[in-house]
Amino acid sequence: MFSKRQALTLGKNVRYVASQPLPNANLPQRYTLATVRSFPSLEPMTFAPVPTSVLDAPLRRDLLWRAVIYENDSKRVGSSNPPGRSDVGYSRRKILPQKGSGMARAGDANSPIRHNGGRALARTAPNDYTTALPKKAYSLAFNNALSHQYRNGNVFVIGAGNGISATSETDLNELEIVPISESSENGDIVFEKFLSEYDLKNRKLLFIINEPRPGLFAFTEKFKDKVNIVQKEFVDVNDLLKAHRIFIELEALEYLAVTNVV
Amino acid sequence: MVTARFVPMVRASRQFTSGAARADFLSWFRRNKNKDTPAVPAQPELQRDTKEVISEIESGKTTEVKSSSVTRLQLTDDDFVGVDLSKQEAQIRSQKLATVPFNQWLSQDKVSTEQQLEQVVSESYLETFGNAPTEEQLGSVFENLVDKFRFTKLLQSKSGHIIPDYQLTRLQTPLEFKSWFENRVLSGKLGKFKESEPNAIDLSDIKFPPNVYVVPDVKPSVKKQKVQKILEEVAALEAQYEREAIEKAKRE
Repeated sequence: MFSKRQALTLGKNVRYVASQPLPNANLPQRYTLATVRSFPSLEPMTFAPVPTSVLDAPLRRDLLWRAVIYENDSKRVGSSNPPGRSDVGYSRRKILPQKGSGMARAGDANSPIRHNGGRALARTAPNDYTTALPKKAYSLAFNNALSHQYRNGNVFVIGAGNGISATSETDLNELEIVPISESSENGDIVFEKFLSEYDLKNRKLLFIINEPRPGLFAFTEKFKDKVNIVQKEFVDVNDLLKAHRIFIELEALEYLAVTNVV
Repeated sequence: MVTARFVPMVRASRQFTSGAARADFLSWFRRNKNKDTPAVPAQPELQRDTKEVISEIESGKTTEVKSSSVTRLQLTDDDFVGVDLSKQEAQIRSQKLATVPFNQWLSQDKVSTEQQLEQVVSESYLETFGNAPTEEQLGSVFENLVDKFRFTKLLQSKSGHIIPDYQLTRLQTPLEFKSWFENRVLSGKLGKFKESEPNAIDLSDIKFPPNVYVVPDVKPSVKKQKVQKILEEVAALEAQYEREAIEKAKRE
């Protein structure tokens, strides 16, 4: 058998080898590319490398499920207000003597086991249905939802070109719509043109904005049933999963990547 | 005891129509009920005795009516029964939509054949690198991201198809992009893709033994059209039967 010294050396070596990656194995990619585009033409401006943990995380349906349940529980509000044993209003007098009646032991008429008695585990409105989810699990689920949409080609990042491509006169580097001329208010026509150009009518669109965009809010009013505009701080997993296409500003993506680091 | 209830059968049918149905016929009256009609100002030159006017005309004198004294009603299309403003607005909107300035960087002619694809790939390569590609160059990995960006942007704009970012990351050489187009676009996969059923397996091109029948995939819009057509035919037949029954009863 090994001496104590040999065993120690071997143990050290084993630990050393285990902490190293396999010599012939490829390391997983650390970055994936997102095309930064102008809006509303979606013309590519440049590439932006995004960590794979944000946009190319492997699909985890279990996490998505937990995050969706967590969010929906948080949104739930109940108005149920059943009377408890203190609310029913009967006397606290004991209905039967403890012994000698031949009947089962009984307390007062407010007891939940009696007909017309109070409700066991009564509550007051608004009822709280919130459940807990570890922040790490939620962040992982968020990245998972974004990655799922990215892999399906539904994520479009909007931002500036950094000199590689020039932005067209009719385009902007943010998720905003401006009318063609200052005198006219035809921004909704521009948005409709964008929808028809990319066959996006009757598709649920999610716009994740970095800061309030009054033009986008005003000129998408006609299509408000299908268009969801959310500021970066208020995006949730449900929004990401329900959207057919996601348009996100580069700054908003950076913010979400930083806030959802696991 | 079971009693049968008499349920009157009501059938509505539109047999005689002279034009498109206007749902807002009565609403037009309601709309215009409280409308302020401009008061016609009194015109002293027109307030004359009729005999006087007749004698004047018979004597050969012509009476000129000044155009300023004539009140003209300022009518819009909405003042006429049967004019559908929403249709007109839709027409104006479609005209505006066609003329609104929009940066169309994607080609309207989509790549559909092998030759077109080869041409688009070689043109994109030429414009990116300044020389016509050889087979070896097409198979070599892009040296930097700027070259890759320029090549893929040109490829997308010339082919008319947006390449998803995930594929832009994974595909490394011009040849890989070309084969992606072949597999995805030219094979017809992209055209058959349904967002409502993204994981659907396409069985239309697979040959099966004669005892296996694959139900052809019909688009919902085609289904809707067919149902509409059948309903129209049924309504027409019912109307015809009713007419024949009435005529028969009249004859008897």
